[in-house]
Amino acid sequence: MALLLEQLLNGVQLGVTLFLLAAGLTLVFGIMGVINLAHGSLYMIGAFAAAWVAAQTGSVLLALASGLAAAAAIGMAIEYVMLRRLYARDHLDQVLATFGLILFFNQGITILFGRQPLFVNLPEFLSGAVEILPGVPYPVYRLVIIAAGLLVALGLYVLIQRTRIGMLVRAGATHREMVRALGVDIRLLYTLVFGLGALLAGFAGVMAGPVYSVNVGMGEQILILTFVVVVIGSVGSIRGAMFGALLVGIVDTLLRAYVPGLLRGVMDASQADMLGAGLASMGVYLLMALVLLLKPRGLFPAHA
Amino acid sequence: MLKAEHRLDIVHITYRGLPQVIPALLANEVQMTLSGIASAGQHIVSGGRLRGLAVGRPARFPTLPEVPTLAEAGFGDMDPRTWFGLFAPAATPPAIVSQIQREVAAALRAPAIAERHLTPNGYTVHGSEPAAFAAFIREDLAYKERMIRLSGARVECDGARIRSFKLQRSALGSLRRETPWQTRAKGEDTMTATLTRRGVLAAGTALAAAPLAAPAIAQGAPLKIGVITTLSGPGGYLGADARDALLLAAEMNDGRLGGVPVQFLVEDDALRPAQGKQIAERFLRNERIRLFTGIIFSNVLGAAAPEVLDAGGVYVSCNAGPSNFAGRECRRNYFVISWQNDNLNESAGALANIMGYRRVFILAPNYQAGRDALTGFKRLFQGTVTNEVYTRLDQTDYAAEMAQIRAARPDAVYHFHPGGLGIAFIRQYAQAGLLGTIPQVLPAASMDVRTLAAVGDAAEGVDVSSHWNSDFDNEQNRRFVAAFRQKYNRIPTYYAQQAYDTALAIGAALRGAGGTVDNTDAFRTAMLRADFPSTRGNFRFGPNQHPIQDWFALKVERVGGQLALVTKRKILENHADAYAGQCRI
Repeated sequence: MALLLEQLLNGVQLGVTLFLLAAGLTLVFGIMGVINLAHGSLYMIGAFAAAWVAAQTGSVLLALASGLAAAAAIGMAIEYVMLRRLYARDHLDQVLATFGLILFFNQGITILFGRQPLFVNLPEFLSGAVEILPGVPYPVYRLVIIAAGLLVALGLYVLIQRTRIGMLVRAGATHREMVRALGVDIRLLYTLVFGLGALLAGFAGVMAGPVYSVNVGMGEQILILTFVVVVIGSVGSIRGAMFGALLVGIVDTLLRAYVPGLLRGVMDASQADMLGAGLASMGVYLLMALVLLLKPRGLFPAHA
Repeated sequence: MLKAEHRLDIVHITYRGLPQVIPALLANEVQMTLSGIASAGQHIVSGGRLRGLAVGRPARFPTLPEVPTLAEAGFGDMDPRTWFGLFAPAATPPAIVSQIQREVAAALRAPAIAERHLTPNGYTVHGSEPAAFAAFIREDLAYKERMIRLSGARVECDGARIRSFKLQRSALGSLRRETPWQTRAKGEDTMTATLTRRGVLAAGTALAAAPLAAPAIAQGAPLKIGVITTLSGPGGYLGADARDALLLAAEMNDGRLGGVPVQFLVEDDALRPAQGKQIAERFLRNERIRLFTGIIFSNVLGAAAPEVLDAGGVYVSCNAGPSNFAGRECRRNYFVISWQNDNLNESAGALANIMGYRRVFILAPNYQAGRDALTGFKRLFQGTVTNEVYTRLDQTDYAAEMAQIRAARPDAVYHFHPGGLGIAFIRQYAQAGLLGTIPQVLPAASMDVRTLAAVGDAAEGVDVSSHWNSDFDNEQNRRFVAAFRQKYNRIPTYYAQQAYDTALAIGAALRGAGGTVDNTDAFRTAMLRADFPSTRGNFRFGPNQHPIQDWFALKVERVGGQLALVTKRKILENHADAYAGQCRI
């Protein structure tokens, strides 16, 4: 029981990290119709900026602020300089251009920081473990990630459902032409939305730094899962991203934890472990296929 | 001939074939080429984007009247022709030969074939009699012989003959497609037999082509060694250490190994097997490299090494030693200087026995070396394995595994996680609060000096098994560690040490084989003597060309306030791998 709880927490923690990435990706796609493969690069930029500032100053707050600022600033710069020219173009052009950005940023980071991974040390008060149940210690920092992710989700909900900007965003997602016809500066809105998406990706990167290693190409590793989340949760839907992310996070973690054990019942242990590991890494994609089979537009379609 | 006899200052650039050359010419990447009229003619006539310098035939070509012949251009001694002929077995009765000749000649001259297919593409139809054809071949051979002399080419391997044979085959094939008479001529088998029997002739034409295909090897140029290694990603420092040690070994000997000047060509495989394979192909084809090393990860080696070996090259492994190449599928020109993968983990299993652990939780990434790791550990470990978990090679978050470890409550944890994987795993192990409660027993791959520096205090007291450590007290090792620290300002990892040993082994083999890898048998004989002073002391090759060596227990301790790996005791002596018996070479 305690083990299951711990694995669920692990799943939720992976889920909120994915959510932070998927929220930006789905917003950008839903509202601007742009497939942004370089979203993972923004995650990497946030992680590198925070890791570097943390190593230079030792300050958690400065690291957090610089990671967010770097990702958001570069995100908006990408939108302003490049993506603007691509809104009217074919998806293939967008994919090509943003794939080019991945190569550009990976090489840029390699030149600036080298190929070696950076490691971020946690401050004392975050580095321990607390007992969530008697006999079940859990790392404090992972709890912080979960809490922060859920707070961001709540904040996004308020922003999108309760504010004027959110209203424009929702309207932009469903009736783009009408919003423009009503005289809203849609270009400014696009830049802001893209900046927000970049900020969230950067935040995910900042938080991932101390847990994983910060290295070139870290964005692509997680980007694939993020796309799975976006597809499962329906393109353009924040709510879908939230539920999709938690679903993918929990399913992935639980499959990895339990499938080998279940298979051990029916076959030789080492074969079970090997097959189980293989099945578990396929599981998320099977889930996506299943969801698309039953609900081809995803779980929470944004455009009615 | 242009270059040698007419003293033109031109450089030969190798392309795969005309389909690549013509675009390069159009893009002004190269400035001249020799091509068939069929390929280049249209660009000369229609768009005028290429200029015809000369045509290699006795008279000007009808559709290119403005282009002079070679003789008119002042190169009368050159005759760059290609020709196609039909052969029959030597014992074929003359009557049949002359009947085939008549039919074929008639067919070739038929307007439908000659005027539509052959003449416009620059072919001249001869349809000569057998005697005239024989005389023509003799004359042509004399000409090609002169060309071979001029180019300085020599026979290097049977590959040339095979390639030329394919060339001839395809030429016949394409003619056949266009000319229906072939269906009435003797079957393909007849021609195949003829071509093989006249191997000399085939080799002759191949060698005539060889100076075009192979860049001339200048006298005294350094021997090129291909280094395919992992320089990026979490495993990037492993390859960087191996590369730096190879360069250091050559530098310490004035740029020579075994008295032979060497040059290392290093490329990053990014831990992607396909990329490693591509690099191998490119090195083999474009750089003509025969000797390779450098691969860190077994899955990359599994893709790239067969590429090298199948092409007649030599691979000397400085790290990966996967089980599938150690047993039944061992290869003559494949040598491992580091270890067979299982060995490293067998030593950890033996160490776990010594430490008295009864229940151990074991983990490794799900790829060749990871599977070898768990197999190896279980081979010598005498206690119970509580869980056996395969992680992913690209995994960064081990939270799920940490929870499983906590739930299983083993005596100890053994995990094989090279490079950045190990750093991430051990840091998360500490964050999960497992460090104080469950000890780890690790192979050197999961705890090298770089892991140690990144993990910090969390590593203190961890037990490690290895075949080498920087504190080994032999002269060769002291010299290596001092030189490495002097040059790179860091302590070498065992990846560096293995690469250094590899460089010494290559040097010894080169010295014994006369300074080249052209004769792989001589190279192999010299290599297997292992006539080099290894930094690990005791080293020799087993029957499967993998090492037989000693294994040691290390422990992370504070030395003068700094954490360091300290050698404690010998665990295994003259330890060979479990697959050597299956290898038959």
